[in-house]
Formats: sequence, structure tokens, C-alpha cells
Amino acid sequence: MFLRNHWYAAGFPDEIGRTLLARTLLGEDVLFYRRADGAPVALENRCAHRRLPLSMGALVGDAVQCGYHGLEYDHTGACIKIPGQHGVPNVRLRAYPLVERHRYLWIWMGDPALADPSLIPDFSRLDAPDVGVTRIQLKPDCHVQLVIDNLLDLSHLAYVHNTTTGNAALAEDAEVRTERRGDVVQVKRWVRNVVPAPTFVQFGGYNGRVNLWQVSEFRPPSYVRVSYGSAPADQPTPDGDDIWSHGHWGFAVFHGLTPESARATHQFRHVAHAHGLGDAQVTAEFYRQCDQIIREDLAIFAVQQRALDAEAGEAPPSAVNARVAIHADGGLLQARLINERLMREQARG
Amino acid sequence: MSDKFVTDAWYVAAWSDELGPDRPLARIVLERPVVLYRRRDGSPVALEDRCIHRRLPLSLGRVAGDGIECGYHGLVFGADGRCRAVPGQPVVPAEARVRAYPTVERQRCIWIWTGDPARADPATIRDFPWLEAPGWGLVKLHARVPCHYQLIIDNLLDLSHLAYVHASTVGSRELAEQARVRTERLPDGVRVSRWTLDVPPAQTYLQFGRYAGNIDRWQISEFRTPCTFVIDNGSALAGTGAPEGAPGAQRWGFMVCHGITPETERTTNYFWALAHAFGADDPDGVAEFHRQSLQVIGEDIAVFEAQQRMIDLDPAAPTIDIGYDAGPLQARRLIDRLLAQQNAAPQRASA
Repeated sequence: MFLRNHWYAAGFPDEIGRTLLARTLLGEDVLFYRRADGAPVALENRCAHRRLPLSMGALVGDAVQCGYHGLEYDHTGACIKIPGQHGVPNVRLRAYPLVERHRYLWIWMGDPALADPSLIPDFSRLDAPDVGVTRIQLKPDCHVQLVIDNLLDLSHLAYVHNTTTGNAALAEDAEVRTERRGDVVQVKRWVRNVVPAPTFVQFGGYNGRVNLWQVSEFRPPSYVRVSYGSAPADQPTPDGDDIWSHGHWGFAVFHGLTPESARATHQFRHVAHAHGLGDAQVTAEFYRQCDQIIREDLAIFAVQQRALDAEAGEAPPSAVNARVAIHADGGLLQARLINERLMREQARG
Repeated sequence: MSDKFVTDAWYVAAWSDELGPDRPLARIVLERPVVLYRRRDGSPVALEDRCIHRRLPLSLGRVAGDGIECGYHGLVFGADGRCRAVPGQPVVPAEARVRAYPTVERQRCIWIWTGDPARADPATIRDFPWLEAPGWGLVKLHARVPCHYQLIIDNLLDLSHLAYVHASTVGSRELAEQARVRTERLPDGVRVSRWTLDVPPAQTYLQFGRYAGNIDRWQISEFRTPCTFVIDNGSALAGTGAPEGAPGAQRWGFMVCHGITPETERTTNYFWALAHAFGADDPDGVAEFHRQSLQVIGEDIAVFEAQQRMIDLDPAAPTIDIGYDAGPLQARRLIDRLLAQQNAAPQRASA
């Protein structure tokens, strides 16, 4: 049902500490905490005895104590104590590899022997000293694929986000190119010599027409990075996703998307930007608009999922049964095909 | 049908005070829709809560004399389940009847027999005398708990959990760490006796037992199939003979009666009542004791909900049993045996 041998965003590092946090990822309930030395721990959140979530228990040193009958497990998941009896059976909870990197907690949901931290996506822009970052955590009521679809077809800005980052030109006049390198899909959109949308006017300081570029990059299973750039219409546009050069205005968005179930997705999003950092009022308003935008998408996801449930039952959205593909769907269809191929490979073992 | 539950048994369907003189009460008992109401003489009636005509729950209708009138087309059913009248037609079809369940009201409970009516012997109803003992205080609760009833039985036959789930009130660490536990098989039940000797009193025991020193504490939980409990919780000053059968000095405690009535495989109607002989002269103290007791049962219900959620998430996840599970496992075996006997017997048309 889910791709297992991948790193998934489990949350933000400052969410976990010396208290117990539970989160359901890929249909599994996971317990998070930190050891006294700060090392993060992720364990199966289910006592092996009577299945109480361990998150209802307590930390005892670096061990977790079940809140029902007091069984204790160490940070490797091994049962180390059963109150009132001497022997402890050889019982071990599942322990998940966990890495903190680029402002995310990354968890490996598959075979721990394959958990190679070099496979974690490069979101290092979030660590740069010269950027401002805002973040948000949401849980769209939909299959993860609908969120990926959304981020790989940004023509929707013209309709869903037309009070902020979108206007009709983004859908009507864009040049779109879909590129694929291995299992990485990039959708690049250029819109030239257009009136900028409100957010770009407000924060880019434009008086006249602009050139805009948007680059969405997908990596399986569900990492998406999107750059939004702009420059005055009389300046050349870059071929890549450069939004950081002088004379450009833009921002970069990073999405860690992790299925909770087939019908709910954890969305951990950061937005990074380099302009207006000194002005708290400007950044506050920009961040407000960023959050407004993602909440507008949220409403759409829930409605889409309801429609899918009504017609398809259990089946996830699929490239094969996409009823009507439009030209802007090139990128998202590639992404769906990649994930479907990986699912088949996983099923074959 | 319904071979998941033991049907030839008395279950608590409601507290007496849940059932008023006029309003029918709807309840699901062992996946059977049941409507409860009272006859003119006050005696309770339990009928299948589904009109034989167009299936409207009769509980949406109104009590009419000793019968009940369907709220859709006005069919009237007597307390025996037979249809007495069909408005607008002179003849009542012979097959127009709903199932009637034997019902007994006793000790503040309305008991229902869900199996073969011919075997419904009121003498086998669990005795809860403390619920109407003169001079005793009472606090009780009916909760619809989203869990399989077995999770509640497990809980009540292993009271070591007080040390963790109820640590701020009736629990102390010693109850899990150093109790003497004895499990006895009864003809139709299991008794788990726990004695924890010479230990500091838990918060509730300290506050209301007013102990100055250590106590000997007992928790005697008696389960009867399919689903009732009486639990004797008490304490006396340490070393004053309570474990040996003497009354003991400065004795304090309370009795809890539990009726556990499966609704579905994932939901249970839980009837919990705590009776105590102390505090007649201290209404404020009693109110606080009741508050703490309700907190305790609320903590248990939170456990049940969480366990059921984990079962639903992955029903096949393996589990282990520990030493204290001797009692819970015996109870499971008793229920499994009753289910096997019931389901091996020839099916009765009325069941």
C-alpha cells in the first residue's frame, strides 16, 4: 500500500523532546522521544503485552514505561522490565532509523539495514544562513498523490490562489517543459511579459510587467521542492530555478509529504526566501500569505478525495485510470508512473 | 446468529433510573436492537426494537398502556411482542410480532436475557446487594465504550494496572511490584485475590482512610461469566491481621459492581457502580471521593479506547502474556468454552 524503503518526513526536530509524541505514518503508530543526551528515538507505539499506545506511558530515563502495566522498553525497543515478575521474555518493539537533517526529522519505514542517510533529499537551502524560513504542518484529508499532483501542476495558482500568487496569465500563457532524470521529475514553467500577481507586486516591488518562472521537482516517494522566481520583463530569465540572484524576487518551497493512511497525509512544509529579511512586518505578511495559500489547497484535497471515494472505493489515484489528462498533467503523470513502478518492484521483493 | 457472544445469560441492559415511566429507551445488546420501556405497574419490558412492518425502531414511537406504538404507521405491540392493532384494518396478521426478551429489575439494574427464554432463570442473576444497602453511598456510571468487552475483563482481572493508570489516586507502585496474587477458578468464574502488605497507602486511601502508617491492602476481583464483576477493595492498618482473616484495625474500602454488556465487537455498554459504607457524616468528603472514583473509571476508558484503536490499526500484531495474566486468560478460556458449547448446540429458531 505504501513504499517502505524510503526516508519520510516524520516531523520537525523541535517537536520531540523529553515527552512522548505519537504519530501515525504509513498506517503505523510511531512513538517519538529523545534520550537524555538528546538522541532522537522512534519506536513502535504499541506495548507488546496489551497493545496500549506507549505514548500514554512515561519516560523513565532513556526507557519508556507502558502506562497500563508498567512494562519498560529501552531505546532499541527491547523489553527490559515487567513489574512483578523476574524473567523478561525476549520481546522487542520495532525501532525505526531516525535522522535530523535540513530542519526535518527523517524516518525510515522499511528494512533498517537499507537505511542509508545519503538517500535523504537535499533540502540544504533550508540550512543556509542568509534565508528566512517559515514552516507549517498540515494534514490534508487525502491520498498523498493528490498533494503531489497539485505541486506538479502550478497552473492551479491562477484559480485557487488568485488573491496572492496567481493570475490568469499563469495558466493561459505559460511555456511548460517536463524533464526527467532517472526518477527525478522537473516541471519548469515560464511566463513572460505579464502583469505580476498580487504577492509578486507587493513583495517584489514591481511597477510593470515581469517574467516569471516556476520549477517543481519531484523525487519518489513524495519529496517535492518548488521554486517561484520573477524578474522585470526586460531582463533575461534564467534556465534553472535561480531565485536568489540580485534583481530577482522569489521563494523556494520544500514539502515533506508522508502518508498517514490512504486517505490522510502529513504535510510538513517550509518556505525559504532571501528578500525582506530585515523587516518583520514584511516577513509576517509574506508568511501569512504562504499559509493562506496552503490552506486553500487543503480545501480542494478534501473534496477531491471525497469524489474519489465515491467512485473508486479503495483504489488510490492512478496514472492508468486518470480519466482526462490535460497537457499540464505531463509532470504529475510521470510522478505517478514512477511511484507505481516502485510499488510493483516492492511487491515483487 | 450472533455466535460471537454468549447469549444464554443475563446482562445489564440499563440502570433502573435510566428508564422513566413514559419514554422508551433504545439500546443495542449483543448486536440486537432492543427497546426498553415500563408497563403501567412500573415493571420493565424489553422488545426487539424494530417494527415488523417497515423496520422503524419502536423506540421512536410511544408507550401506549402496557404496549408500545410504532411511530410510523401506528402498529401497537404488547409487552409480549405480539401486535395488538394495525390501524385501518380489522385483522392483525398472526405473524405480526417482535421478539420479547425476559427482563428483571433488581438492585438498581434492569437485566435482560438474550438467549432461549425457556432457560431464563432469575436465580442466576448476579447479586449486587451493595447497590441498595441501607446507609451506603453510591456513585455509578453508564458509559458506551468503543472497545471489545474482553479488554474490560482483562483490566478488572489484573489490578496491577492501578500502579500506572491510576497512580494519582488509588494506585501505588507496590501494587504491581510486590503483590501476593492468587488466582482461583470458580464453577462459573474466576477470582483473583491480591494482597499487598505493609505498604504506604495510595493517595485516595491516605486521604479517606486517614492512615498514619503503612497498610495491608486487598483487591479481590470476582468475575462471573459471561460478563459481571464484584470487586472488594479494602485496607487496614498493617500488621493488624486482615490478611489472616481478622477484621483488622482502621478498616476502609469500597465495593465495585460491574455489568459489561457487549453492544458490538467494537463497542460495549459498561455499567459501573461503586458502593461505600463510609462518609455518611461527610458529604464534602464523599463528593471528592466520588470525583476521584469517576476519574479512575475515566482513565480506564481512555485505555480501552486506545487499545481498540491499536487493534483496529493492526489486528494481527503479536502480543505477549505476562505472569499477572493468569486470571484474564482463565476468563477467556471460560468464555471460549461457553461459546463453543453454544455454537455446537442445534440452532434455535428464536435465537
